[in-house]
Amino acid sequence: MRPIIFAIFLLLTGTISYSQTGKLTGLVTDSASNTPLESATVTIFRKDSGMVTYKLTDKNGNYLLENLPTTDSLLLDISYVGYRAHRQTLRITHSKTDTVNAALAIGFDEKDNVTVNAVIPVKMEGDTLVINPAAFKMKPDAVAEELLTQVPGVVVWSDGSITVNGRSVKNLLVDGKQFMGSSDPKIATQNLPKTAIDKIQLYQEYDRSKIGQQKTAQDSVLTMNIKLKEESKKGYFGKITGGYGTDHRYEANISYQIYDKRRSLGIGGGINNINKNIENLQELFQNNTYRTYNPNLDYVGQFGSNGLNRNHSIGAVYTQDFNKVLNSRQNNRITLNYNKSGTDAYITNQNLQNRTTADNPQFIKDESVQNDWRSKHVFGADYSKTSSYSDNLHINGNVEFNQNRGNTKRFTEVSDTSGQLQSTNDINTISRGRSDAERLSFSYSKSDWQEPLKNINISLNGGNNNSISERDVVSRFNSFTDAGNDTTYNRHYKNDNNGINLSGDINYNGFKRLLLGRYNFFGIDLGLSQRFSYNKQTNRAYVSDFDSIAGQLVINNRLTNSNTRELLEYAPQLYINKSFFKWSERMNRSISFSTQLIDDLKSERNHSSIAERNLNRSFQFFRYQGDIRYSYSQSNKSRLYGGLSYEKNFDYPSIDQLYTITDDINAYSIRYGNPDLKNRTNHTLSINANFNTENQKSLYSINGGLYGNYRKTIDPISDSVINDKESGKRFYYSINADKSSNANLNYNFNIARKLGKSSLQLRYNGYQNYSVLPNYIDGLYTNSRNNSISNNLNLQFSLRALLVLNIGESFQTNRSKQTAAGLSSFKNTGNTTKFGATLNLPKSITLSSTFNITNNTGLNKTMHLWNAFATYRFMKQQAEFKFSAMDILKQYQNISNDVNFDGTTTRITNGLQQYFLLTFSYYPRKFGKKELKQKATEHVW
Amino acid sequence: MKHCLLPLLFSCLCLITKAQPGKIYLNPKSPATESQSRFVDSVRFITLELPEGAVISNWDNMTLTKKYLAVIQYSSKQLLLYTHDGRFVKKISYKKLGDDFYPVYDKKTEQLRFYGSNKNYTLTPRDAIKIELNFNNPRNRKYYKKYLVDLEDPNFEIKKSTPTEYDVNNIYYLNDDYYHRSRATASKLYKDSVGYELKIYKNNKLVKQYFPYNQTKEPRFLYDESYVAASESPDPKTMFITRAYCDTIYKITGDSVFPAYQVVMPLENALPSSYFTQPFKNKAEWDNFRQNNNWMFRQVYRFVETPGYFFFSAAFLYNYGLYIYDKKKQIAYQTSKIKADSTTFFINIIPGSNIDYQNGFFYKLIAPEVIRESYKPVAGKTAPAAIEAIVNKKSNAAILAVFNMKN
Repeated sequence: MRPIIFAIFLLLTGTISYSQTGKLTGLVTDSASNTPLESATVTIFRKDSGMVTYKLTDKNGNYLLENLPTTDSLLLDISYVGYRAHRQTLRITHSKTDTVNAALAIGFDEKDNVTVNAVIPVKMEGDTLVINPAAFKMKPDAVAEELLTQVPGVVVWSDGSITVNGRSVKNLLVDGKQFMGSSDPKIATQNLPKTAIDKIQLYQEYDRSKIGQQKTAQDSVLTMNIKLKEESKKGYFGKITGGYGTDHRYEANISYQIYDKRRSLGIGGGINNINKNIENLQELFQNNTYRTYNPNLDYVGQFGSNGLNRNHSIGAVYTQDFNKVLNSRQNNRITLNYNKSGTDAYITNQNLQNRTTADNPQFIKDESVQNDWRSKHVFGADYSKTSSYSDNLHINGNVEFNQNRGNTKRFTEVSDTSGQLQSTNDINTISRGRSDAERLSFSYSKSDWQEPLKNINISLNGGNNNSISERDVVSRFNSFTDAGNDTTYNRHYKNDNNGINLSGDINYNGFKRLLLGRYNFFGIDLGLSQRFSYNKQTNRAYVSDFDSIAGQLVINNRLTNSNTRELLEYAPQLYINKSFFKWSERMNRSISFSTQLIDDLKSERNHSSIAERNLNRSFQFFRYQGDIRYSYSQSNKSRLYGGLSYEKNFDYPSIDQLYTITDDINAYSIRYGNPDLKNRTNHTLSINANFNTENQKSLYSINGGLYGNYRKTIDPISDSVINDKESGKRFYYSINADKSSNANLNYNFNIARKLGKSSLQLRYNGYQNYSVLPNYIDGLYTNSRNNSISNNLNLQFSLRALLVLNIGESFQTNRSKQTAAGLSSFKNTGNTTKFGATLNLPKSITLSSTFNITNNTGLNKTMHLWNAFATYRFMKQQAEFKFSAMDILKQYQNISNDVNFDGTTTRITNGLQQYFLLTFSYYPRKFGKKELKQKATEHVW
Repeated sequence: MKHCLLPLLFSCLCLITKAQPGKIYLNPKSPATESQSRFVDSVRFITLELPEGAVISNWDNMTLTKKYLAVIQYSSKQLLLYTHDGRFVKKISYKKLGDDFYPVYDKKTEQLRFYGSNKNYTLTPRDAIKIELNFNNPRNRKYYKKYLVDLEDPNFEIKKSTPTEYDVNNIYYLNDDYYHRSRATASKLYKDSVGYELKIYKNNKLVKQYFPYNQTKEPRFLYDESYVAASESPDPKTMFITRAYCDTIYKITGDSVFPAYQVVMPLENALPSSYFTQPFKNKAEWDNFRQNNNWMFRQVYRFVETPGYFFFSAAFLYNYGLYIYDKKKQIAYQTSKIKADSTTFFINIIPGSNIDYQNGFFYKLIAPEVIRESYKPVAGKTAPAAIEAIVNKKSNAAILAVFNMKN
């Protein structure tokens, strides 16, 4: 792996260093006064009108342009508002600095007989950075994202996210509003053509989702607003795709969006049998965009998915703005959406497991064939109203209907170390069910320093759910050591569940003003919060066994039951916060300390047909939590946020853990409750840190993050597992252990370097998880120490819009160690090397390919997955043929490995195999009434 | 009869002509550029001695008093006191007073006044008006604090003082024995609907008031306070005053106000008449209007008149500009477009905010970082030793450029 990366690095460096470049410097002055002109725009164009680079003159009128090509004849344009432009052709000398001074005269450009409006590519207007698309000469079908890659300081990362001078763009708006009801940048930046955009604005904005909460430095989010040209405020775009391939593989998608100043409608859907997930409408829109230069090579048939799935979906989202204003402070918008989706899955599984036991290690082979059919309808409505930065009204409701049916045939056999069969369990299940869920939420926030008594956050939620399911299970257990243990069940289950929940939170931030009036209380903020919730869940289980003698179903009185659980919760909470700030012209720093004191009151009533489950309980937990938040920002250099928090809370055992209704139909997982279980206490310590550079002059953009938490639980609920030596049956008893712990750490680091119009990106992320869970295995006390580590590294090189190369490496390690003597420990490691390449050839042809090499200690041989794609766009770039060759080497196997305290499991699943697919796509696109062309004011020579 | 009417008509015409204020033609985004020496007659560089541990940056502010120059450092909450010839006198830290306090020079009493709200209380704008309306109630006196530094006292100690009705009502010294209340705001808390943007006081008595407005619902001031700004004029008995949303610059002598100049701008910079008659629905609407019409004129603030030029600042709804107006050519220059030249070793002495005017001279505070950025050697000319030392990083002192404008 290392030599490959090194070779590619050398290749890239070679490419960069080979190209010959030169420099151009000069002084721009006013011809009358001979005084230097600051902020004059000096632009270099190629003969084909493509912009090579530009600079603004400094305060002394000087400019310096570097890395200019020496091979071509270039055009120099020096312009300044109100002055006649200076234009000349030139050829740059290699490894020398050429000089061109220009003395501009005030007045009109006689040649054009109009005042020359210098098109300044990037400028500051107050605190807003304005990007002028007209200053960038690009191919006619270029989208906004392609334009952004050319803007100094802007990095479009390989996942479509955008940073500007190191800061992440959190909010993307089009004409001050969310575009297509989504804040994800991709729908706008990868669809809207550069020619439809008047200007792109970047500014800091208060994060409205934080209204009513304690203000922190992180509340200021970077917002990108794309202002469309007046004639482009109405348009449509989308993608309609259909394709068929070998092995009867097919796919068809539609993604179509239409918008005007106040309305937008998106229609999406699809059908495929290549395991492509199309359930989520917004994801469908995000993955079917127009951009070409860096196609999403991961939005293809998923070879890692379980089984062979036929997916279908169809849906629409409609957004109506009731106000005309073009800013993000005032919103009055309703969004309606409907989506119908479903899957028809065929899955075959083979699980091979080595079980952790002290003196009778077992080998379990589990094979299953599963047919599942699922169908889902979701209807949602969302209303949002804000009239300023200080208020927010939000109402959201959705209704969901689900239906499913399936059958599973599962055969499990347990053998001892010598391979001797101990037992088998043959289970056939036929199931069907339907469910519905209705949810409604309302929230209102107001935060106004001028009227502190009115500062309040109210959040109300209500929900109702119903489900009915039926299952017919035939289970035959055969013991090869003791025939007396053999069991056969033919059981029918019918479950009828209903639930209702109501909850509300009221945070009153005017509490301090109400309590203390104008008194400032040493700058300490006080807030009072009330939380209540009511939850009622009714579960009815009708279980009957087939009596083969009588030939009819007989009610199973032990398993048939009905339970109603009502839980009433009330938690008053006091919030105390104190912040300290320090600022100077070069930096600002803040630190804040906050504490929350919470009295958790709970009352639970259980009404059951099973006598011991008629349990009424009340709890009072006094909880507390606190956090420290820190931010440090150096002007035009860097920004750092950090936080440390601690929380103590309690959990109590559920009625199902105390009085479990034991069903032994699955002989290898028979669970018993424990009425003596105690409450658990959790101590959680969390840490987070974010860092990014903000140097506008730097070619590098760096950001990173660290998130971790450590949780220690006193009296955790764990299992005492008994493996029956004779039959292989496994019994689980719930117990309290003394303490358990879990620590996890997530981290990421990203660095990008601009190389003229090319770029290099390195992205690294990973996580570590370490847990210690005590339990008993066959009466033996053991601490199960599980450790999993994952690290992913990806390097992307983009050579202008011509070539995109990706190389990545991911490593995973899973360990499970038992402290008790005699119990086995397990370790599993794996790594995947990924290569990706996209080459944009002339004549609108794009070739791309991905190649993955996977190694795993659980696999006998290295696994390769090679996919390749060729696309051709025609009909004014609105039609596309795409040929996909998937798993060209025909070596892919759907195998995964897992390690936990049960032991190590290897899973072999059916999935996609090699196929070839030819798809045709049509991109309907129109932005305004007239076809958008580059305006004459753009520098076309 | 004819002979009688003609002189009368002539006299009337003369009066009308005299009453017409002079015009100042301002293009707020004027591209006009000139070199600095075109405006500056003579310049003198004074080095400000730097006390140990102090650094003067471009963000610091400056105030001239009769005898001293105070460099106010807001971020570190201290001020450095200098004599006019650059000798360091004292560093005064006001950190302990709280975030709300900063020094304001009172030329009548030769004091630096620190006035602000008591940090033990949080006041909303409504609170401030309620307190202002009922300041005689002793319970309301605790909400504000006042400290003074007597510039006649060589100890320069910060001494606690008692806020007065003048402080709470924004009544400032104007000239001679006259004081003026400068704040205009609209609130339903005012019982009397008639308010005045300018109220003149003498010997603690209201003597005249000008520019009436509806102080319960005036559209201009519903979401925005405004202040009448006063600047010294060449005549020591007269001051210039300017007010919000008014393009006229007035002169005030004693308690008499009369128009002096009128700023004439392109139509695109003028506010529509509805701005003065139709109130906005809410603050967000008003804020939208400001942001969408950011170059519409709001107010002239500082206004300095020299024989050849006007030097003034102008605020727009969402922008700000500093200008020099050539009276003869009738051209306004943005000071940011005025380029330093060899006469000052390319050091800019006009643009920026740290500039004050006294007795015919401008005083510009120039931070060492600015000197290092802009300085260029001039052939055949030796730069002052202090500037050389700053450029060569042997000194980190700031420079005070004292100059007068050409006639």
